[in-house]
Amino acid sequence: MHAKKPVDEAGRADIEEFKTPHFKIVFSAGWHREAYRTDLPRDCRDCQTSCQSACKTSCTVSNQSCPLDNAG
Amino acid sequence: MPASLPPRVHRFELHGVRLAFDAGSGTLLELDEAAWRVLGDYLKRGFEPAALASSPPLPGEPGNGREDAVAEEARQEAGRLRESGALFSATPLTPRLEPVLKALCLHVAHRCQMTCAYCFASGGDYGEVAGSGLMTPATARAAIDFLLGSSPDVRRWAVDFFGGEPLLNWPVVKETIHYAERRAATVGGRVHFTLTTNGLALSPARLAFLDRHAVGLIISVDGRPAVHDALRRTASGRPTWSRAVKAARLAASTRPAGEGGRATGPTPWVRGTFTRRNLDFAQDALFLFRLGFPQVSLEPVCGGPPELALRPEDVPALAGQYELLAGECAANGFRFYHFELDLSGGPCVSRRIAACGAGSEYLTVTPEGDLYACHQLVGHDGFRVGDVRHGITRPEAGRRFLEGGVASGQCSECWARFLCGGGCRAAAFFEHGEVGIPPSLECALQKKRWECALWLAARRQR
Repeated sequence: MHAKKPVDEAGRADIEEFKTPHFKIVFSAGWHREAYRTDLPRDCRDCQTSCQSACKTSCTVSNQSCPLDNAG
Repeated sequence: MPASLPPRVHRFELHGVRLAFDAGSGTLLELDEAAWRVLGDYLKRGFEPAALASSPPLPGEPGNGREDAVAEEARQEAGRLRESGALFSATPLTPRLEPVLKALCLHVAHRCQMTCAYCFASGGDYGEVAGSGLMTPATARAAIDFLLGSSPDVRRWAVDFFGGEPLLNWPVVKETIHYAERRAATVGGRVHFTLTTNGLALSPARLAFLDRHAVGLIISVDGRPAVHDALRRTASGRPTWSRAVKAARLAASTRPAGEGGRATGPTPWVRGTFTRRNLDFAQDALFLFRLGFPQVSLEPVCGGPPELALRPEDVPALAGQYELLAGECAANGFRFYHFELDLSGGPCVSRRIAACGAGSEYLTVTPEGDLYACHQLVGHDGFRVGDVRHGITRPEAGRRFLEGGVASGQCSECWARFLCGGGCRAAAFFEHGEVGIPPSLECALQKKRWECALWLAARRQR
């Protein structure tokens, strides 16, 4: 099943590792680290819910929170 | 599918803040003057490692020692960011996994009390002239059986009641909710419901039922009364703003925003539409916020009647409206749907790569039980994939939606590719006659919205 927000951990790692005066990392999703590998949990294959209904609000793709994070 | 997508960095300035977004890593950076200039340099010259390691001043660039030192410091930072993968990050791709059906849009009524001038459903009936336009209970049950039977390993499904106006077939809405809950419970699962309505037939009793079953509500209001009533009228020509707002207020009263309160269901979204007639649409969003609705969305009309459809020459004015709206959201805590970007907890990898899932993970059911790849393409036979009693008999019609996406064509080169997933395939079809080419006007507006969303995210991080 789903591991809670792995991308957050990767993103925090970026922010903590890289503190500079000119380029300030506001946040990093950390996609380059892991989120695009399909063997990781945050993938529709293992997803037990659907986020498609969210798109109906705008008839386009949404970036609302993943419903897994709110799934009971 | 290529093995990886090329790096893309988008540098932009909004409300005096200089930002850069790295498409491959999902990293948002705030830039000072030196970083802004150095990054601009790399975006002009290319960002190969050799160029990053050391880059001479651009022609005309000041060459005094102090500025050189600062620029060199910024270049070194950029190089280290690149090494860490947070800047100019390439994106490795693997083949998309076989999608599984998880959601249905049930058109329980191809009827509507209203005849909105911009309606993509031709006033609710999608151009149909025969039949009752109402889904029967048997068809609705067959649709639920089809959904759960198509994805036996899934335990959480989604059903959206849509139309036309779904409340015109209220008995079937109620019965379907009960039936789906029972069916899902037998396998230890759950169905999440949403309902999109014009609000005219939303009574307290109906709302209480929807509250009890935690049905997400999307209520259509276009903003200021004159804007709304100019285009959203009943079939007999009567204005509807007052009734729609009354319904939205009723729904908001039982579902206040915030956590841990008295909410009996998800906070409703007030969703409107804007056209060429109200290019100052930010005023409509702000009007709705100030009426007390905390969550608002406004959608652009990019097709349809020429006098209403937005045009490419409108983009600068619309961009200014989005920027104004973003500023108001930051100052007042408003939630505008398209600015609610969640990079760290947002959609899964499949969705980021291939958009909404229409045609495979999500299908639409007509009142007669026909299955279509998308709710916007009902009536287009090339997108009819089957029916709820016989299942998917034309899988190729659904697979057309897998064309395009971020792994191919111009989207693969775009900095916003993982934010929009290649955009709305139905909009692409309406503009180009095929789903694999992104819709140009929507694409331009979408990118501006992402800039605003990123800026807002940076503000909220402060």
